Amino acid sequence: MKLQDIYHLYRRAAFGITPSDALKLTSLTREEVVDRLIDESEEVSPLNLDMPDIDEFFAGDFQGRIKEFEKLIRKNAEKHLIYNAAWLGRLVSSKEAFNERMTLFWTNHFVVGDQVLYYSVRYRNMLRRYALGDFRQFTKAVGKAPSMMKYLNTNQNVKGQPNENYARELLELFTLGEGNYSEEDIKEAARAFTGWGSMMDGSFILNRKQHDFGEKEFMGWSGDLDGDDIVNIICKEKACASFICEKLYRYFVNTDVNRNHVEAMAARFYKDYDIKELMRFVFTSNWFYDEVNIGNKIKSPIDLLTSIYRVVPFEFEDQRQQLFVQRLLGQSMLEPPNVAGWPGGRSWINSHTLMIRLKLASVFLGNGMIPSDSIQYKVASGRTFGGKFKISKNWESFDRQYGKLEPEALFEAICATGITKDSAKMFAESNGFTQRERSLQLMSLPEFQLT
Amino acid sequence: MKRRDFIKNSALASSLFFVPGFLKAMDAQLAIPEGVKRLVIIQLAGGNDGLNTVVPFRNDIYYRERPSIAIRRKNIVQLNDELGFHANLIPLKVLYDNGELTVINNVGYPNPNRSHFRSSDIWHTGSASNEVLNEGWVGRFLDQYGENPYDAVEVGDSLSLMLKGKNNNGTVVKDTAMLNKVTGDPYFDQLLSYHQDPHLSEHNMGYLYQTMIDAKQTANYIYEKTKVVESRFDYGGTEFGKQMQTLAQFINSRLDTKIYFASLNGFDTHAGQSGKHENLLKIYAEGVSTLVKDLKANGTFKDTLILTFSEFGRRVAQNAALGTDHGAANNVFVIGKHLRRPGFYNQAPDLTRLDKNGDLVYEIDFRSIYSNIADSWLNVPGESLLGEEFERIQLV
Repeated sequence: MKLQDIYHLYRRAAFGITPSDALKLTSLTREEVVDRLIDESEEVSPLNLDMPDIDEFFAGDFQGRIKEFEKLIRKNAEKHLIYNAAWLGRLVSSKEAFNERMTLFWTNHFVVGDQVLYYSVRYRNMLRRYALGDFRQFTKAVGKAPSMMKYLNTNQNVKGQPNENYARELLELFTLGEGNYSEEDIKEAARAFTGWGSMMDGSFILNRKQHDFGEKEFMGWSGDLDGDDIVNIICKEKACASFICEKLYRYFVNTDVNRNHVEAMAARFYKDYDIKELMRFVFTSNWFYDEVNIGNKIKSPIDLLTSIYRVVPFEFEDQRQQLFVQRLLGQSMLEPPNVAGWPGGRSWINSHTLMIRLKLASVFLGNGMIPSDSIQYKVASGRTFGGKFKISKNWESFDRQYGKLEPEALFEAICATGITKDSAKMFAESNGFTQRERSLQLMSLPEFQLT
Repeated sequence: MKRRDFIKNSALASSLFFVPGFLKAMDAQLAIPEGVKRLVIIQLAGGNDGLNTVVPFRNDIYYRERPSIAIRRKNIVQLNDELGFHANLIPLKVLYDNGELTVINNVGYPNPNRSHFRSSDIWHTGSASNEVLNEGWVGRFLDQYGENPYDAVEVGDSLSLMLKGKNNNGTVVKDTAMLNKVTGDPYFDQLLSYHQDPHLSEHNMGYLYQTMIDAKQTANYIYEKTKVVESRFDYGGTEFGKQMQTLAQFINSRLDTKIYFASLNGFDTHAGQSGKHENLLKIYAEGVSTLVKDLKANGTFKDTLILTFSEFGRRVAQNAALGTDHGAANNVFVIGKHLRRPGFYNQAPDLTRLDKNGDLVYEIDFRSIYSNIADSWLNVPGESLLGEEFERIQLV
């Protein structure tokens, strides 16, 4: 497999790959590399957070002790920082990088915001478990998860006066997409989800008194339908497979959709809704490696952070600063903007965020100034950055991995598009920088914002 | 300095021989008419419950359909025989009494869409409900009449569709000092001095370089103009309050910006609505009324018009979770010194005549409001921004 294609695959399907690891794979075929990547996620490890007091609470008889539970939730709230940092750390260090990438995608599909860490941790582990599984089972599990039932009010949806929130978003955002259902379908689907709720420990219950057992008519089907039936009916619609495939295509391939490619994906997906096989189909397709699909996507803030890490591994010594940076860039991992998630693409970029993104590498890894021919930089070099970030960085790893690369190979390893000929001209005419300084200059180019 | 001049004066000077695609459109542009005034647009995002904002307190249907969440008489500030503000809107009552506020009831559009995202896009682009447009109506203003990247400014985290045009975009500003510091790195000047490739404009790479150029220009302009003006009013410390304070600082610095946009989130009250909604109304009313005071104190209120909208109203009947689901028509507020019809522009909503979802039926198309503002406030033909003529109404 070509080196450029290996970089491309790993940038999109995982969180990048170092030059030496990529080189090792060049002797394999594309199918072999894709199989390897997928097989590494064969076993899925949950990302847990130690909350021994809550475990102990649920080990005993917890019925009716809601006040105590609330107290425990408040006590554990500050662990959000630990969890947030652990998640970002997992992205760049886990062997299951592909499954983590898929989980990140689903996090922005089945979106929830949940202040209760106990449920939120379980929700994200549920996403990990199903991330490469059967989409139908996945969607059913999502609907019964306490985080989702709270976020879209399923747990307050009762017979006679249904709350439409979950039903609407299920159809509009999670499965069919706008225009593929009627307002009447929403009302009927809302009835099917009445009486759903969860126990304090997160287990699902059906409150029979609040559930509407009456006949419902939904998308041409009728009967005493419940929530699982609604999902089954939705998945019989080809529109559902198309909608999910288009969203995956925009995320993994190109925000400009090629209809033929998406239809080919949908035909594969509709057969069995097997997410893993769908993704294998995408990553082994020739079109995935077309020139137009390489280096054309704008990085999300998380992509940006993980791609800097891939060049020079770094770690925040203060977890609050890590959260601060995520918020500054507009993607704090546990705080989605709304149920539609982050829109992605060009919406990450505005005059405010772009300039911060361009300066990030020099602030994290250098002295706060980007190496240039200017007097200001010459004066400032050697001075350490007096800024407020406490970050430990592993430049030795950079030296090993990137230190000896020729200019072209360095550009290719750091920037997904390579660099523009104008940037190349600038580098050619501006000499005397170390390989470390070069890498900072590269990570400060608009080119580095693309993946 | 105009955007054109900036490009000339900047390190890009030599690139004029190539005229990048994104600049070409400029030559065909008309200049912004002299004496244009400022427009501030505020979105109550999530779908504000208009019936609990401007309350039909004599309406039995209202109380019957909302047994637990209707606003009781003692929490209402009466405006006329039928309608009153929720008590948390007291700061707006002053504007109402001064003739500086118009409330337009029953605003919407045919075949209402009840998705936040679609309906919000419809309001942002000025499209019909069965039409998808990729440019905002302010973006079209920028495309046709824009001169500088700061002609339209969003005070917030990201750029909304409303401010996106085909060739020109508005600018997002949050922290001017930080932006100025970051853009000042000499590396960026060196980099831009090399970038002359006209083909860049087509794709994401061009978008990134263009945004970088705009950011450098905007950061410097706003920072220099605003650093001497500070707002001394107390905006209450909320995020929205801070946004209003930034707006006041910008407007009182007499920036050349024509249109400002800000939003207040959280109005999607499907459950446990009462406390949440009341609190949001309070934040909105305090923020906006303080902004007005600040502008008055600096002599800029007379040239400022403030438009407040939400992507839809909410269902008349409450749901079982003591909240309300997505609805349709809703009220819109216009605040300013030169209003033609202060007070209520039209009749209260008719609760006896709802659509089949149980939602209010629209009477005034929101695009008539945009159109009137374009014609009479921005001094550009409404048709040039909306593509067609809408029923004429006279707010300003």
